[in-house]
This record gives sequence, C-alpha cells and structure tokens, in this order.
Amino acid sequence: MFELEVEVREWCERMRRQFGLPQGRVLELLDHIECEVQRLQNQGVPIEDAFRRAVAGLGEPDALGRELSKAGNPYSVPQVLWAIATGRAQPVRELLNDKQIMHWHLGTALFFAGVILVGAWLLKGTAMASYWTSIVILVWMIPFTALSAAPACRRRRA
Amino acid sequence: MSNAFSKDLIAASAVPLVLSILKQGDSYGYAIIQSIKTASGGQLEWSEGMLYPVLHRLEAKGLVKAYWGQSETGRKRKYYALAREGREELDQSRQAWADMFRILQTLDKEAPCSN
Repeated sequence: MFELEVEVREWCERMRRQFGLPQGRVLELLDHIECEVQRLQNQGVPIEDAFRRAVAGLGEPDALGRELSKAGNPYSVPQVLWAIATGRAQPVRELLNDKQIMHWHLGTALFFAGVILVGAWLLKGTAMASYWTSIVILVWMIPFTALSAAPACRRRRA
Repeated sequence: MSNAFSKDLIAASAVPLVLSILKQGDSYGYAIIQSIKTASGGQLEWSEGMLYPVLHRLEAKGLVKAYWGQSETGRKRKYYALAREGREELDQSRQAWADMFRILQTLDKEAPCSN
C-alpha cells in the first residue's frame, strides 16, 4: 500500500545523501512536493499518481540536486557565531549539510579541549582549577546543543 | 517551458519577476511559481530547478530575507520577503527593462536603411 509519508521521507533522504543538500533546502522541496500533491489530489488525482507527478515535475534529480547545491550560504561566519551565541542557531543549522555539521562538531571539540587543557595548566594550584573543566563544558554545551539535533528528515522517521 | 519565450529571456527576467512578486507580499517557492503562471496566463512556466537557486542566490546577496513559518497543515515552510536592497534592485531592473523596451520600439518605428 502506498504511504505518502514514507515515499516523501525516502525521497528526502535520497536527495540529502546524494547531493549533500542542507536540511533547509530539502525541507523547502518537501513543502513544494506536498503542495503539488495536495493540488493534484484536489483535482481528483489518486495520491500515488499525485506524488509521482509532483516528483517528476521537479525535473531530473541530478540536475535539480546540482542546481540546489550551487547556491551560496546567505550567512557569514560572524552571523553564524552570533546566531549561536544568542540561541538562534536553528535557522543556521538548516543551511548546513551533514558534512559541515560534522566539521562543526569536530572543530568545537578540538577548540574546547584546547581551552580546558590550557586553562587547567594556567590555573593549576588555584581554587578555580577544579571548576574550570565544568565551566568550559557548560559553555561548550551551547553551540553543541544548537547544532546537535538530527536533521528533520531523520526526525520524521522516529 | 513556454514556446513564446526563449530560455535566455526567461533566465534574464527571473530576478525582476521574483522581486516583483515579493513586492506584493511575502511568499514561498510553490506560490511564486503559481503566481508567475497566473500572471502570464500560463505562457511562462518556471521549473523548480530554476526558481529555488534564484531564490537562494537572492537571499545570499541580501536582496530577499528568508524566514521559516508554517503551512496551513502545520509543516515547515520557507517564506521570502523583499529586503530594502531588493526594492532598490527592482526599481533599477524596471528602469532597465523599460529602457530596453523603448529602444526596441524606437528601432521598430525607424525606417529601414536604404542602400
């Protein structure tokens, strides 16, 4: 039996993996497909046909994926950092693909590990030394939490 | 794709047309495609593969601002709004297209060269 949710989810996963598209771009296409499916269904087209026609209407997946992965990221590095610092990282995360998110985590892990080591060395023998690691880890949790949630495609599967 | 418009013309007119649609109010990809189809009486049909990269480039240039909202059914939807820079770009584009049209008309009216 045809299940629209499952088909849409699989399509989403394929596009995301094959072309390394950020979550935001895939979500935008999903909205587009769902709008078109709804329009066709309102015209009396069966849901399975409606889905196939909506996806076909997007054109050749390779060409679409290439075009979508070309467009630049509208956020500069300072804007990304500011968004994270002010707790508004969600829209930024939607513009990063899985690889960029992995690089982000690796970068922050190395940075904070360095901060812990240097801080501990500088503060050794002081009362602050015992709190240093905890403080740094707490600060680390802000960007980590902001970017750690799984992309919506995978969330939908749960 | 329309038979009446060449690919080059469609590509060249995409930015001013998107900006014009957004001048009427915030919109999203699917609705923008429907708007252009309606406004052109079906003569101009944009493909998704053409529109979304244009929207993303406009966003990257700061001509439009994007934000996430919700559709009537509760799913996430990306809306686009015209930024101040986009308004200025639209004014310049309109002027350029009007000038081009005037040149075409002038050339049309002129008598052909006699040898």
